[in-house]
Amino acid sequence: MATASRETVSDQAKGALASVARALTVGAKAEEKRSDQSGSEEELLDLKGDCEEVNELFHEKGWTDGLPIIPPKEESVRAMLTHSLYGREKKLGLLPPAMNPVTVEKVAVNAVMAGCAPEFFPVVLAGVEALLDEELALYSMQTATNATAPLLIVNGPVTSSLCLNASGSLFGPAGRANATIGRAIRLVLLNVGKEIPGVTDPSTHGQPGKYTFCIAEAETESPWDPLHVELGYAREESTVTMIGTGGPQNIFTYGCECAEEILETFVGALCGLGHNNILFPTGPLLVLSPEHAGTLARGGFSKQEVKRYLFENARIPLSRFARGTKRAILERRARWFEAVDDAEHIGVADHPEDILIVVAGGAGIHSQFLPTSFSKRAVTKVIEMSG
Amino acid sequence: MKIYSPTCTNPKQLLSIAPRRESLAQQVWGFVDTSKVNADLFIEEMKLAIQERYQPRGFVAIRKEAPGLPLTPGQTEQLAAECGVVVFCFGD
Repeated sequence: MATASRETVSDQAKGALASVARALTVGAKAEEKRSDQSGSEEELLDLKGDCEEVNELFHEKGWTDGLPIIPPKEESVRAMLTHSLYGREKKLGLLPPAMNPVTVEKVAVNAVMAGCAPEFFPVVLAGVEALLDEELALYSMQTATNATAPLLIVNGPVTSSLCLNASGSLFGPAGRANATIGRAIRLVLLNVGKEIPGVTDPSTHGQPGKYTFCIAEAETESPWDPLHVELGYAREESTVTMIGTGGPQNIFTYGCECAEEILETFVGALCGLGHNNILFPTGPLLVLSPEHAGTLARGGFSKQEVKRYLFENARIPLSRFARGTKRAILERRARWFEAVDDAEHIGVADHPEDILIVVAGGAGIHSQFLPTSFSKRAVTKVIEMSG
Repeated sequence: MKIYSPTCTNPKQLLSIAPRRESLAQQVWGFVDTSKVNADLFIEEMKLAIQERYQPRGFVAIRKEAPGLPLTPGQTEQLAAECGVVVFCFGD
Protein backbone atom coordinates (compact mmCIF):
# COMPACT_ATOMS: atom_id res chain seq x y z
CA MET A 1 0.00 0.00 0.00
CA ALA A 2 2.88 2.38 0.65
CA THR A 3 3.56 2.86 -3.05
CA ALA A 4 0.02 2.22 -4.32
CA SER A 5 -1.79 4.75 -6.52
CA ARG A 6 -4.84 6.61 -5.22
CA GLU A 7 -6.99 4.51 -7.49
CA THR A 8 -5.64 1.28 -6.02
CA VAL A 9 -6.13 2.56 -2.47
CA SER A 10 -9.70 3.57 -3.35
CA ASP A 11 -10.43 0.12 -4.77
CA GLN A 12 -8.94 -1.50 -1.68
CA ALA A 13 -11.09 0.64 0.61
CA LYS A 14 -14.32 -0.07 -1.30
CA GLY A 15 -13.48 -3.74 -1.46
CA ALA A 16 -12.79 -3.87 2.27
CA LEU A 17 -16.07 -2.24 3.30
CA ALA A 18 -18.14 -5.40 2.91
CA SER A 19 -15.84 -7.38 5.23
CA VAL A 20 -15.72 -4.51 7.71
CA ALA A 21 -19.50 -4.29 7.75
CA ARG A 22 -19.82 -8.02 8.26
CA ALA A 23 -17.34 -7.99 11.12
CA LEU A 24 -19.25 -5.16 12.82
CA THR A 25 -22.69 -6.71 12.52
CA VAL A 26 -22.67 -10.49 12.17
CA GLY A 27 -23.58 -12.03 15.49
CA ALA A 28 -20.53 -13.14 17.40
CA LYS A 29 -20.47 -14.15 21.02
CA ALA A 30 -17.61 -14.82 23.35
CA GLU A 31 -15.04 -16.50 21.19
CA GLU A 32 -13.17 -19.58 22.21
CA LYS A 33 -9.49 -19.16 21.87
CA ARG A 34 -8.19 -21.59 19.32
CA SER A 35 -5.70 -24.04 20.71
CA ASP A 36 -2.19 -23.30 19.63
CA GLN A 37 -1.25 -26.02 17.15
CA SER A 38 2.39 -25.53 17.88
CA GLY A 39 1.83 -25.83 21.61
CA SER A 40 1.52 -28.93 23.69
CA GLU A 41 -1.04 -30.12 26.19
CA GLU A 42 1.55 -31.61 28.50
CA GLU A 43 4.34 -29.95 30.44
CA LEU A 44 6.50 -33.07 30.46
CA LEU A 45 6.79 -35.17 27.32
CA ASP A 46 7.79 -38.80 27.54
CA LEU A 47 9.73 -39.29 24.32
CA LYS A 48 11.39 -42.33 22.93
CA GLY A 49 14.35 -41.75 20.70
CA ASP A 50 17.76 -40.22 20.83
CA CYS A 51 18.90 -36.61 20.68
CA GLU A 52 18.61 -36.44 16.89
CA GLU A 53 15.05 -37.72 16.99
CA VAL A 54 14.12 -35.22 19.70
CA ASN A 55 15.59 -32.46 17.53
CA GLU A 56 13.53 -33.59 14.55
CA LEU A 57 10.38 -33.48 16.68
CA PHE A 58 11.19 -30.01 18.00
CA HIS A 59 11.86 -28.78 14.46
CA GLU A 60 8.53 -30.21 13.27
CA LYS A 61 6.73 -28.49 16.13
CA GLY A 62 8.34 -25.14 15.30
CA TRP A 63 10.05 -25.03 18.68
CA THR A 64 13.50 -24.18 17.37
CA ASP A 65 15.21 -21.36 15.49
CA GLY A 66 16.35 -23.84 12.85
CA LEU A 67 19.50 -24.74 14.76
CA PRO A 68 19.94 -27.89 16.88
CA ILE A 69 18.81 -27.68 20.48
CA ILE A 70 19.81 -29.42 23.67
CA PRO A 71 16.82 -31.56 24.71
CA PRO A 72 15.44 -29.99 27.90
CA LYS A 73 15.58 -33.06 30.13
CA GLU A 74 14.23 -32.96 33.68
CA GLU A 75 17.66 -33.06 35.28
CA SER A 76 19.03 -30.32 33.02
CA VAL A 77 16.13 -27.99 33.76
CA ARG A 78 16.44 -28.75 37.47
CA ALA A 79 20.14 -27.82 37.34
CA MET A 80 19.32 -24.58 35.55
CA LEU A 81 16.71 -23.68 38.18
CA THR A 82 19.22 -23.99 41.04
CA HIS A 83 20.68 -20.68 39.79
CA SER A 84 17.44 -18.78 40.25
CA LEU A 85 16.38 -16.95 43.38
CA TYR A 86 12.78 -17.45 42.31
CA GLY A 87 10.62 -20.54 42.51
CA ARG A 88 10.08 -22.39 39.26
CA GLU A 89 6.37 -21.51 39.14
CA LYS A 90 6.91 -17.78 39.53
CA LYS A 91 5.16 -15.93 36.76
CA LEU A 92 7.32 -13.12 35.39
CA GLY A 93 4.63 -11.58 33.25
CA LEU A 94 2.71 -11.90 29.99
CA LEU A 95 5.01 -12.16 26.99
CA PRO A 96 4.06 -10.55 23.69
CA PRO A 97 2.88 -10.98 21.07
CA ALA A 98 0.68 -13.87 22.27
CA MET A 99 0.62 -12.47 25.83
CA ASN A 100 1.25 -15.94 27.24
CA PRO A 101 2.40 -16.19 30.86
CA VAL A 102 6.14 -16.74 31.11
CA THR A 103 7.34 -18.62 34.18
CA VAL A 104 10.83 -19.12 35.56
CA GLU A 105 10.51 -22.79 34.59
CA LYS A 106 9.75 -21.99 30.93
CA VAL A 107 12.73 -19.67 30.78
CA ALA A 108 14.88 -22.48 32.22
CA VAL A 109 13.59 -24.96 29.62
CA ASN A 110 14.48 -22.61 26.77
CA ALA A 111 17.83 -21.76 28.35
CA VAL A 112 18.72 -25.47 28.38
CA MET A 113 17.66 -25.73 24.75
CA ALA A 114 19.87 -22.78 23.86
CA GLY A 115 22.92 -24.45 25.38
CA CYS A 116 23.27 -22.18 28.43
CA ALA A 117 25.42 -23.28 31.30
CA PRO A 118 23.32 -23.15 34.50
CA GLU A 119 25.36 -20.24 35.87
CA PHE A 120 24.21 -18.11 32.91
CA PHE A 121 20.59 -18.38 34.03
CA PRO A 122 20.39 -15.21 36.18
CA VAL A 123 21.44 -13.16 33.15
CA VAL A 124 18.77 -14.81 31.01
CA LEU A 125 16.14 -14.15 33.69
CA ALA A 126 17.12 -10.49 33.94
CA GLY A 127 16.88 -10.32 30.15
CA VAL A 128 13.35 -11.72 30.20
CA GLU A 129 12.40 -9.19 32.89
CA ALA A 130 13.68 -6.47 30.58
CA LEU A 131 11.59 -7.87 27.71
CA LEU A 132 8.49 -7.48 29.87
CA ASP A 133 9.13 -3.82 30.70
CA GLU A 134 6.61 -1.67 28.84
CA GLU A 135 9.28 0.90 28.08
CA LEU A 136 10.98 -1.59 25.77
CA ALA A 137 7.84 -1.62 23.56
CA LEU A 138 8.49 -5.27 22.66
CA TYR A 139 5.12 -5.86 21.01
CA SER A 140 5.68 -3.01 18.58
CA MET A 141 9.11 -4.22 17.48
CA GLN A 142 7.98 -7.85 17.19
CA THR A 143 5.01 -7.12 14.93
CA ALA A 144 6.65 -4.68 12.55
CA THR A 145 8.13 -5.12 9.10
CA ASN A 146 11.24 -3.38 10.43
CA ALA A 147 14.46 -5.25 11.25
CA THR A 148 14.54 -4.51 14.97
CA ALA A 149 15.45 -6.96 17.72
CA PRO A 150 16.13 -6.44 21.42
CA LEU A 151 19.87 -6.20 22.10
CA LEU A 152 21.13 -7.27 25.53
CA ILE A 153 24.11 -5.31 26.94
CA VAL A 154 25.65 -6.83 30.07
CA ASN A 155 27.59 -4.79 32.64
CA GLY A 156 29.21 -5.38 35.98
CA PRO A 157 31.29 -8.11 37.64
CA VAL A 158 29.23 -10.88 36.02
CA THR A 159 30.87 -10.15 32.66
CA SER A 160 34.18 -11.53 33.88
CA SER A 161 32.83 -14.20 36.25
CA LEU A 162 30.77 -15.72 33.42
CA CYS A 163 33.40 -15.07 30.72
CA LEU A 164 31.07 -12.89 28.66
CA ASN A 165 32.84 -11.50 25.61
CA ALA A 166 33.37 -7.75 25.54
CA SER A 167 36.28 -7.96 23.15
CA GLY A 168 37.04 -9.18 19.64
CA SER A 169 34.21 -10.65 17.53
CA LEU A 170 31.83 -8.99 19.93
CA PHE A 171 28.75 -9.37 17.75
CA GLY A 172 29.67 -12.86 16.68
CA PRO A 173 30.84 -15.42 16.94
CA ALA A 174 31.37 -14.26 20.50
CA GLY A 175 31.71 -17.42 22.53
CA ARG A 176 29.41 -19.63 24.54
CA ALA A 177 28.10 -17.13 27.10
CA ASN A 178 27.12 -14.40 24.63
CA ALA A 179 25.78 -16.86 22.06
CA THR A 180 23.65 -18.97 24.39
CA ILE A 181 22.32 -16.20 26.63
CA GLY A 182 21.17 -14.27 23.57
CA ARG A 183 19.74 -17.44 22.03
CA ALA A 184 17.84 -18.32 25.21
CA ILE A 185 16.08 -14.94 25.03
CA ARG A 186 15.12 -15.61 21.40
CA LEU A 187 13.81 -19.12 22.14
CA VAL A 188 11.65 -17.76 24.97
CA LEU A 189 10.25 -15.20 22.54
CA LEU A 190 9.58 -17.93 19.97
CA ASN A 191 8.15 -20.62 22.21
CA VAL A 192 6.35 -18.67 24.92
CA GLY A 193 5.68 -15.30 23.27
CA LYS A 194 4.98 -16.92 19.87
CA GLU A 195 7.08 -14.44 17.94
CA ILE A 196 7.05 -16.63 14.83
CA PRO A 197 8.80 -15.46 11.64
CA GLY A 198 6.32 -15.04 8.82
CA VAL A 199 3.34 -15.56 11.14
CA THR A 200 3.34 -13.01 13.96
CA ASP A 201 6.72 -11.54 13.02
CA PRO A 202 6.33 -9.88 9.60
CA SER A 203 9.87 -8.47 9.44
CA THR A 204 10.77 -7.92 5.80
CA HIS A 205 14.33 -9.23 6.16
CA GLY A 206 14.80 -10.15 9.81
CA GLN A 207 18.38 -9.83 11.01
CA PRO A 208 21.10 -12.05 12.51
CA GLY A 209 20.31 -10.62 15.96
CA LYS A 210 17.12 -12.65 15.86
CA TYR A 211 19.27 -15.73 16.44
CA THR A 212 21.24 -14.21 19.31
CA PHE A 213 21.98 -10.64 20.33
CA CYS A 214 24.03 -10.25 23.49
CA ILE A 215 27.21 -8.26 24.18
CA ALA A 216 29.15 -7.16 27.24
CA GLU A 217 30.88 -3.83 27.84
CA ALA A 218 34.67 -3.69 28.12
CA GLU A 219 34.60 -1.67 31.32
CA THR A 220 38.33 -1.97 32.08
CA GLU A 221 39.16 -0.78 28.55
CA SER A 222 36.95 2.28 28.70
CA PRO A 223 38.21 5.75 29.68
CA TRP A 224 34.71 6.61 30.86
CA ASP A 225 32.05 5.33 33.24
CA PRO A 226 30.37 2.18 31.90
CA LEU A 227 26.78 2.27 30.72
CA HIS A 228 25.20 0.98 33.93
CA VAL A 229 27.03 3.52 36.09
CA GLU A 230 25.96 6.27 33.71
CA LEU A 231 22.39 5.02 34.15
CA GLY A 232 22.61 5.27 37.94
CA TYR A 233 23.74 1.81 39.06
CA ALA A 234 26.72 1.02 41.26
CA ARG A 235 29.82 -0.17 39.45
CA GLU A 236 29.78 -3.40 41.46
CA GLU A 237 26.18 -4.18 40.46
CA SER A 238 25.67 -6.47 37.49
CA THR A 239 22.97 -5.39 35.07
CA VAL A 240 21.44 -6.07 31.69
CA THR A 241 20.35 -3.15 29.51
CA MET A 242 18.04 -3.88 26.63
CA ILE A 243 16.87 -1.76 23.67
CA GLY A 244 15.44 -2.47 20.24
CA THR A 245 18.06 -2.05 17.52
CA GLY A 246 18.85 -2.93 13.95
CA GLY A 247 21.99 -4.78 12.97
CA PRO A 248 25.38 -3.15 13.55
CA GLN A 249 26.84 -0.92 10.83
CA ASN A 250 30.62 -0.76 10.81
CA ILE A 251 32.28 2.67 10.94
CA PHE A 252 35.88 2.42 9.70
CA THR A 253 37.97 5.51 10.44
CA TYR A 254 40.88 4.69 8.16
CA GLY A 255 43.18 7.72 7.85
CA CYS A 256 41.66 9.64 10.75
CA GLU A 257 44.43 10.93 12.97
CA CYS A 258 42.66 12.73 15.79
CA ALA A 259 39.48 12.81 17.85
CA GLU A 260 37.77 15.43 15.70
CA GLU A 261 38.38 13.46 12.49
CA ILE A 262 36.97 10.33 14.11
CA LEU A 263 33.91 12.24 15.31
CA GLU A 264 33.32 13.69 11.87
CA THR A 265 33.36 10.18 10.43
CA PHE A 266 30.81 9.12 13.03
CA VAL A 267 28.69 12.11 12.04
CA GLY A 268 28.85 11.01 8.43
CA ALA A 269 27.73 7.50 9.31
CA LEU A 270 24.78 8.85 11.28
CA CYS A 271 23.70 11.13 8.44
CA GLY A 272 22.83 8.39 5.96
CA LEU A 273 19.20 8.25 4.84
CA GLY A 274 16.87 5.39 5.71
CA HIS A 275 18.09 4.40 9.16
CA ASN A 276 15.61 4.20 12.01
CA ASN A 277 16.91 7.11 14.09
CA ILE A 278 15.52 9.56 11.55
CA LEU A 279 11.91 8.60 12.25
CA PHE A 280 12.25 7.03 15.71
CA PRO A 281 13.22 9.40 18.54
CA THR A 282 15.08 6.86 20.68
CA GLY A 283 18.62 7.94 19.84
CA PRO A 284 21.33 5.81 18.20
CA LEU A 285 23.56 3.31 19.97
CA LEU A 286 27.29 3.52 19.30
CA VAL A 287 29.59 0.69 20.31
CA LEU A 288 33.04 2.26 20.31
CA SER A 289 36.18 0.20 20.04
CA PRO A 290 38.58 0.76 22.95
CA GLU A 291 41.00 2.43 20.52
CA HIS A 292 38.38 4.94 19.37
CA ALA A 293 37.27 5.63 22.94
CA GLY A 294 40.86 6.12 24.04
CA THR A 295 41.63 8.52 21.19
CA LEU A 296 38.49 10.54 21.89
CA ALA A 297 39.29 10.74 25.60
CA ARG A 298 42.90 11.79 24.95
CA GLY A 299 41.50 14.43 22.60
CA GLY A 300 39.68 15.89 25.59
CA PHE A 301 36.22 14.43 24.99
CA SER A 302 34.19 12.99 27.83
CA LYS A 303 31.39 10.59 26.91
CA GLN A 304 28.87 13.43 27.38
CA GLU A 305 30.92 15.68 25.10
CA VAL A 306 30.96 13.00 22.41
CA LYS A 307 27.16 12.79 22.68
CA ARG A 308 26.85 16.57 22.52
CA TYR A 309 29.10 16.70 19.43
CA LEU A 310 27.04 14.07 17.64
CA PHE A 311 23.77 15.70 18.67
CA GLU A 312 24.87 19.09 17.35
CA ASN A 313 26.44 17.88 14.13
CA ALA A 314 24.64 14.73 12.97
CA ARG A 315 21.77 16.59 11.31
CA ILE A 316 20.30 15.83 7.91
CA PRO A 317 18.77 18.55 5.72
CA LEU A 318 15.03 18.00 5.32
CA SER A 319 15.50 18.84 1.64
CA ARG A 320 17.14 15.42 1.18
CA PHE A 321 13.97 13.52 1.97
CA ALA A 322 11.00 12.49 -0.15
CA ARG A 323 7.89 14.60 0.43
CA GLY A 324 6.07 11.84 2.31
CA THR A 325 9.13 11.10 4.45
CA LYS A 326 9.47 14.77 5.37
CA ARG A 327 5.82 14.83 6.38
CA ALA A 328 6.37 11.79 8.59
CA ILE A 329 9.50 13.35 10.13
CA LEU A 330 7.63 16.55 10.99
CA GLU A 331 4.91 14.46 12.62
CA ARG A 332 6.88 11.76 14.40
CA ARG A 333 9.83 13.88 15.46
CA ALA A 334 7.78 16.86 16.59
CA ARG A 335 9.70 16.95 19.89
CA TRP A 336 12.96 17.59 18.02
CA PHE A 337 11.53 20.65 16.30
CA GLU A 338 10.13 21.91 19.61
CA ALA A 339 13.42 21.45 21.44
CA VAL A 340 15.91 22.59 18.79
CA ASP A 341 16.02 25.88 16.94
CA ASP A 342 16.66 24.27 13.55
CA ALA A 343 13.67 23.95 11.28
CA GLU A 344 15.70 22.86 8.23
CA HIS A 345 17.31 19.70 9.58
CA ILE A 346 16.47 16.57 11.51
CA GLY A 347 18.86 15.23 14.13
CA VAL A 348 19.33 11.61 15.15
CA ALA A 349 18.14 12.10 18.74
CA ASP A 350 15.79 14.45 20.57
CA HIS A 351 18.40 15.07 23.31
CA PRO A 352 22.14 14.41 23.59
CA GLU A 353 21.57 12.05 26.50
CA ASP A 354 19.36 9.85 24.30
CA ILE A 355 22.49 8.80 22.40
CA LEU A 356 23.83 5.60 23.98
CA ILE A 357 27.56 4.88 24.02
CA VAL A 358 29.14 1.57 25.04
CA VAL A 359 32.84 0.73 24.81
CA ALA A 360 33.50 -2.82 23.60
CA GLY A 361 35.33 -4.76 20.93
CA GLY A 362 38.83 -5.83 20.11
CA ALA A 363 41.79 -4.01 18.61
CA GLY A 364 41.12 -1.86 15.56
CA ILE A 365 39.83 1.46 14.29
CA HIS A 366 36.26 0.28 13.90
CA SER A 367 33.15 1.18 15.83
CA GLN A 368 29.55 0.15 15.34
CA PHE A 369 26.42 2.24 14.78
CA LEU A 370 23.19 0.50 15.73
CA PRO A 371 20.05 2.45 14.87
CA THR A 372 17.49 2.01 17.64
CA SER A 373 13.74 1.94 17.22
CA PHE A 374 10.40 1.30 18.93
CA SER A 375 11.69 1.28 22.52
CA LYS A 376 10.78 4.41 24.48
CA ARG A 377 14.16 4.15 26.20
CA ALA A 378 16.79 1.56 27.11
CA VAL A 379 15.59 -0.69 29.93
CA THR A 380 17.98 -1.83 32.68
CA LYS A 381 17.47 -4.67 35.16
CA VAL A 382 19.74 -5.86 37.95
CA ILE A 383 21.00 -9.43 37.63
CA GLU A 384 20.02 -11.31 40.79
CA MET A 385 22.70 -13.88 41.40
CA SER A 386 21.93 -16.89 43.55
CA GLY A 387 24.37 -18.01 46.31
CA MET B 1 13.56 -39.50 27.92
CA LYS B 2 11.37 -37.04 29.81
CA ILE B 3 11.55 -33.65 28.10
CA TYR B 4 9.94 -30.39 29.15
CA SER B 5 7.75 -28.60 26.65
CA PRO B 6 9.23 -25.16 25.85
CA THR B 7 5.83 -23.66 25.10
CA CYS B 8 2.86 -22.52 27.07
CA THR B 9 0.38 -25.21 28.00
CA ASN B 10 -2.53 -22.93 28.90
CA PRO B 11 -6.05 -24.23 28.69
CA LYS B 12 -8.30 -22.60 26.11
CA GLN B 13 -9.63 -19.26 27.22
CA LEU B 14 -12.89 -17.58 26.44
CA LEU B 15 -12.47 -14.09 25.04
CA SER B 16 -15.30 -11.63 25.20
CA ILE B 17 -15.65 -9.09 22.43
CA ALA B 18 -17.76 -5.99 22.04
CA PRO B 19 -21.39 -6.72 21.06
CA ARG B 20 -22.11 -6.41 17.33
CA ARG B 21 -24.43 -3.74 15.93
CA GLU B 22 -27.75 -4.73 14.45
CA SER B 23 -27.44 -1.94 11.91
CA LEU B 24 -24.67 0.34 10.67
CA ALA B 25 -27.10 3.08 9.59
CA GLN B 26 -26.88 6.40 11.43
CA GLN B 27 -23.78 5.43 13.39
CA VAL B 28 -20.79 7.57 14.26
CA TRP B 29 -17.79 5.77 12.77
CA GLY B 30 -14.41 5.92 14.45
CA PHE B 31 -11.13 5.24 12.68
CA VAL B 32 -7.70 4.65 14.12
CA ASP B 33 -5.16 5.84 11.58
CA THR B 34 -1.97 3.87 12.27
CA SER B 35 0.05 6.62 10.47
CA LYS B 36 1.45 4.05 8.07
CA VAL B 37 1.84 5.45 4.54
CA ASN B 38 -1.57 5.82 2.85
CA ALA B 39 -3.52 4.82 5.97
CA ASP B 40 -5.11 8.30 5.96
CA LEU B 41 -5.95 8.01 2.27
CA PHE B 42 -7.46 4.57 2.83
CA ILE B 43 -9.67 5.99 5.58
CA GLU B 44 -10.79 8.91 3.41
CA GLU B 45 -11.79 6.53 0.62
CA MET B 46 -13.60 4.27 3.07
CA LYS B 47 -15.52 7.25 4.48
CA LEU B 48 -16.78 8.03 0.96
CA ALA B 49 -17.94 4.46 0.52
CA ILE B 50 -19.63 4.49 3.95
CA GLN B 51 -21.44 7.74 3.16
CA GLU B 52 -22.91 6.22 0.01
CA ARG B 53 -24.20 3.18 1.83
CA TYR B 54 -24.89 3.85 5.51
CA GLN B 55 -25.84 7.53 6.07
CA PRO B 56 -23.43 7.99 8.97
CA ARG B 57 -24.05 10.63 11.64
CA GLY B 58 -20.38 11.47 11.64
CA PHE B 59 -16.77 10.36 11.68
CA VAL B 60 -14.01 10.50 14.28
CA ALA B 61 -10.49 9.76 13.07
CA ILE B 62 -7.54 9.50 15.44
CA ARG B 63 -4.05 9.35 13.97
CA LYS B 64 -1.39 7.66 16.07
CA GLU B 65 1.93 9.42 16.43
CA ALA B 66 3.68 6.26 15.24
CA PRO B 67 2.39 2.85 14.12
CA GLY B 68 4.09 1.05 16.98
CA LEU B 69 2.59 3.19 19.71
CA PRO B 70 -0.65 2.16 21.43
CA LEU B 71 -3.60 4.50 21.67
CA THR B 72 -3.45 6.72 24.72
CA PRO B 73 -6.13 6.15 27.38
CA GLY B 74 -7.63 9.49 26.39
CA GLN B 75 -7.87 8.49 22.74
CA THR B 76 -9.50 5.18 23.66
CA GLU B 77 -11.99 6.96 25.89
CA GLN B 78 -12.82 9.43 23.14
CA LEU B 79 -13.54 6.65 20.67
CA ALA B 80 -15.64 4.78 23.21
CA ALA B 81 -17.60 7.90 24.13
CA GLU B 82 -18.24 9.28 20.66
CA CYS B 83 -18.44 6.30 18.31
CA GLY B 84 -20.88 3.52 17.66
CA VAL B 85 -18.33 1.49 15.71
CA VAL B 86 -14.55 1.72 15.43
CA VAL B 87 -12.33 0.50 12.62
CA PHE B 88 -8.57 0.07 13.04
CA CYS B 89 -6.81 0.71 9.74
CA PHE B 90 -3.46 -0.38 8.40
CA GLY B 91 -1.79 1.19 5.43
CA ASP B 92 1.07 -1.18 4.77
